[in-house]
Amino acid sequence: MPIARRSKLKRRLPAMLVTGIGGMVAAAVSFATAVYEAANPAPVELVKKDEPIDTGRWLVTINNASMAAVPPTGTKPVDAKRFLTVDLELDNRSAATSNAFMRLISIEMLPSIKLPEPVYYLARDKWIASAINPGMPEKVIAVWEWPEGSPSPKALRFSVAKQIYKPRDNLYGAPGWFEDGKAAIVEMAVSGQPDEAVQ
Amino acid sequence: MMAVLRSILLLGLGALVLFVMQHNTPGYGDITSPIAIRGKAGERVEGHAFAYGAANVHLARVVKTESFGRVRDYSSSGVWLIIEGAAVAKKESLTLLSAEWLSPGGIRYALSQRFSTMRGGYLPTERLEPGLPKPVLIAFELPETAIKGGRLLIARSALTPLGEELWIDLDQKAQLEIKPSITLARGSGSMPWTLAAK
Amino acid sequence: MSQRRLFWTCLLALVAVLPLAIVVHAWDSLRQMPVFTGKHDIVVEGGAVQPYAGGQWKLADLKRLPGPSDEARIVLAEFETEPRDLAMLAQSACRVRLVDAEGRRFEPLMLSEPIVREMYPEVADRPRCSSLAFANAGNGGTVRMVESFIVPAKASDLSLVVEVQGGEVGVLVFKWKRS
Repeated sequence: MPIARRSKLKRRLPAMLVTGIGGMVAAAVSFATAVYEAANPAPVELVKKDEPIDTGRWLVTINNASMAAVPPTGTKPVDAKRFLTVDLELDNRSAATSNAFMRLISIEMLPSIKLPEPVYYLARDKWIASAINPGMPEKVIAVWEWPEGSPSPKALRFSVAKQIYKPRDNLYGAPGWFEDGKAAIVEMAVSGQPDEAVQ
Repeated sequence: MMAVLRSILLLGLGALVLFVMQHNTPGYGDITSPIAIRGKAGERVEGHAFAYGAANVHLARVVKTESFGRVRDYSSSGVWLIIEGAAVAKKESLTLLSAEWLSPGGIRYALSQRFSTMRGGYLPTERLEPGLPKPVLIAFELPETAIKGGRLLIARSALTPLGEELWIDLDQKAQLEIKPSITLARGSGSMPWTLAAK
Repeated sequence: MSQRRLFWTCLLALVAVLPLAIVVHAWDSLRQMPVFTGKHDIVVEGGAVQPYAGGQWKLADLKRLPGPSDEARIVLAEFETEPRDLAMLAQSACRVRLVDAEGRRFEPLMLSEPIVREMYPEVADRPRCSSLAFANAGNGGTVRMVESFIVPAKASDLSLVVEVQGGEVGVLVFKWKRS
């Protein structure tokens, strides 16, 4: 009986070793890739204005950026304010209506300047934009209220985020869209300087 | 030699079975999706908690809303689909927050939020009381190709797993004419809106 | 022989362990079931006073007013509480519903209908049931509250359900004969 048991263990030993070592190697490779990718991020593409950017879920085109004293609604605020208005074209390529474009574009700025969240206007209505339908590209105006005291920008860098579709997410196995780094960076001049016009 | 070959074969078979199961078993999204209750436009479709009936369906290029003498034009790169109907709660007071248009290609279009300033009768703003049917208005902005063969989905909320959802097919035979414009104005009495097509 | 016994032991253990695992997983939800919490409805006849959630509660009146259409009626529920433990009341959320003979539940209206203000202006100004109403009450006085509902004209045997959430024994059900 003891001999039989020992021989059984002996036969199983290679299998146990293979699975153990294999598992450890797999974990080490996955960890090393993660560390490597964090240390060497893929270079982000630099895109010119008026060129469509594929962000996975959206096709985004940044057409124009300008400073204005009036928001797109046309009603002048009581206190004089400066608005950075950015003209966009958005095409929803997913299978459902979505307002996720509102988190897509950010301005790369000096950390000392705190920008408020932008407000999105539908160019068609000159009114606050709601979600955008698939297959119905829309022109949208993103408006940042420019903080008082900081000079109007001459040029800006816009960073456009990317989203990928997972048919099964890692937690529940539910389908969904997930953040996936940057799609592109757009550098462009800002036109219509109200400061200069006043002077 | 035979034993090694057999174990490799078994391993391959196992991988194949797992692969087939991964791609053929319903995902989390399918398992927890709302339960469909099918019906047709023109009839009252009964859910457990609420019922809805679609009465009139209109298509238009432009929707005009009129309130307090001010007219606003809502243009679209597609077509406006406006559905007049009535809804009622059955067991408790509720609001039907989710209405979607499912195109024949499987794309889901959400209810238009563009006339959020319009009060009265718009489905997600109406509190429904048990036993008291209320006229409700639904508006979608759709590409022209998404209309034929599509269906209207109505639920209490878009996110409730295993909730009930009415799936309403519109009459496929009736050829709907696309009107140049439809004007929605405040109604009086029991109808919260008036609709005039041009 | 011993292997066979092991097999059966394991199979039996599985039969016991599987339901046990479900019970452990759902323990918190199970504990909140009415059977385990001892919560039950406290049924009170209209006009009677009932101690509940740190106060003496009473349904003063349940009026039916004409509704926006022929099929609908507005129900105006006037109720009051004499707080004994104001701190406790001011902390807990108050939920009010109207239930009819068929068990249909009506939530109160957010804004009172114009007809209420027209017919009973002094009632319309009372607060709705909320912790705010208790917080503003001050010590000693009776807190008079009002809630309005829209119900079908045919709805009968209406009763007002008051629930003060926060570790209480159950809900208060005021029966009203004349409705």
